[in-house]
Amino acid sequence: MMSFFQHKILGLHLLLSLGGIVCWVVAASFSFLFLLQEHALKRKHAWISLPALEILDRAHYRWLSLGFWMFTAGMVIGLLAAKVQLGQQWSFNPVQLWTLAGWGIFAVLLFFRARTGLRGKRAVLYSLIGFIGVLFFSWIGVSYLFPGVHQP
Amino acid sequence: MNFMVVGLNHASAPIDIRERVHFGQNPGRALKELKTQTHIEEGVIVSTCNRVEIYTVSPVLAGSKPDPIFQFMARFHGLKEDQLEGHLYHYIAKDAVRHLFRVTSSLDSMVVGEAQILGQVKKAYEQSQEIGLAGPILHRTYQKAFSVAKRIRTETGLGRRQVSIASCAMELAKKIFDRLDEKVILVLGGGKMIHVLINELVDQGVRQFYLSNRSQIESPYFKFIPFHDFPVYLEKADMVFVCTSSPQFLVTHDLVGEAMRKRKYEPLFCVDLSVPRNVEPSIHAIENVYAYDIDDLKELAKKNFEMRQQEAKIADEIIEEEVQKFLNVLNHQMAAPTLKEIWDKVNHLRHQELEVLRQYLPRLSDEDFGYIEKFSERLAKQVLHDPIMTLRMEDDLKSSGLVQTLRKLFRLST
Repeated sequence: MMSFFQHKILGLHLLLSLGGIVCWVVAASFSFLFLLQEHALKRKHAWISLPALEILDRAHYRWLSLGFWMFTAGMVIGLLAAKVQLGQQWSFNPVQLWTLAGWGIFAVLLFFRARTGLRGKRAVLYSLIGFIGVLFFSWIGVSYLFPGVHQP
Repeated sequence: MNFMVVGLNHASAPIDIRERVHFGQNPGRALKELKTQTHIEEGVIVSTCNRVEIYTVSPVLAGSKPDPIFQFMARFHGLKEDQLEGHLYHYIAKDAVRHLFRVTSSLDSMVVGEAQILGQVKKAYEQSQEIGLAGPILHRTYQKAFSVAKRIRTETGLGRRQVSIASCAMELAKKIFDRLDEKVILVLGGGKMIHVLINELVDQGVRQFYLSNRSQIESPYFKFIPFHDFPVYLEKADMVFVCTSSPQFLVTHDLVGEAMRKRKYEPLFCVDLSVPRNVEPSIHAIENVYAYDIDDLKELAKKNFEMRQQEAKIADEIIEEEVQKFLNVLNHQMAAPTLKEIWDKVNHLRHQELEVLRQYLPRLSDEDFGYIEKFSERLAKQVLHDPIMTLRMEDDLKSSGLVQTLRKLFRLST
């Protein structure tokens, strides 16, 4: 039986990780709109009524960073809790690896955005790839593909 | 309804006629004279550079010719009536309502979809209110016209598409940038179109311009730079407008590539209005660079114009629907008392006859009698259905005399 304290920790881990993913879903929607608008501008026709690139880019960036910090916190709590309570180390199962890869892409992306101003189409594309990695393996993968510790 | 409009616009009259019948910014005196001289109950004067129109409500003028308004217009401006002949149009009742709705929604404008007209009509109506010439009929008609204009603005793309080169460039800029006011503009060369663009940008709050052209306008926002120095400013600029007579590319792929690296790939919007072109077209392929030449803008303007035409058709359908709805409501209100009296009379007769029937058939059960009662009610409703609908659909209920006829036929007190 899990103690009350353990219950809380697990809840926090879930809340932050899921919250992070929700933020990334929002960010991914903005990046999708960005790609549509950018495509229309580059093709010079088929104009569509969407917000300005700058707005979409900024919204994408904000949701991405918010999701990133939430997910990071959730991941750290998950790691610590696993070690303390289950006596388990990082187990290198595919769920964790792929999630880490997606998270890594976001980390690199945010780093380069701050340093060299990585923005626009390329940034948005990287972010979409990272998002698919995270979404597919940490969410769908957790429940169906790789049953293990993360199996509810 | 005795609603009428007499007027002229850019399509019916040349500019020299329009400027002579223009009522100026404040047509207060004209409104007062109109009231005393033509026995009208309500009136509004819309006077813009493309249109002069007098909207009136008058029982005296109902169904008659618009001559008194014609004469008033000529007399007020010191013109002979034949000078206006052939330039004026007039619409009555349903057609007048439709015309007002089309004017307010900018479907009757020279540039269809332009945004000013709604404000101008609103102002004209307010001026009439101040004079005390806007009564209940104009109030309802104008409020409806304003809401129809709003509906058309939200439901169609009529006002959204820009049709001039300069405003198309602005439309593109707004697809890239959120706020323009903090952006830096680099202008190479000059010309009329560049001037229009700069004015538009200043209106939008842009305050940082680097100009490299011959004109030396005194303004704190403009910084003039030597022409050969422009590559230095390229990296600072968010927008570049080029229109020179140079025969070769000035803004080259290499220059822009270098500038983009230095500005950390912040988006760059580049418009080339020159022929032959001064901006190397291949810069459009560089990341976060959006470059357009004069043909791109013309193409966009043409597409927008075609779309406006399409949207105008949809808008006209909306107007037709709204005119009918509006008249139905008016008719309904005008006919409502009479319809109620008729219905009361029919109901009274129905109940009388039901009483008689009950005496003749005393053994009828309550249930069966209920059926007969329902039957009589349905019959009465169906008989009255067609006359009611005819009244509601009538374009001009008041002058048709249908209500009076009905009252006479049903022998209602008049």
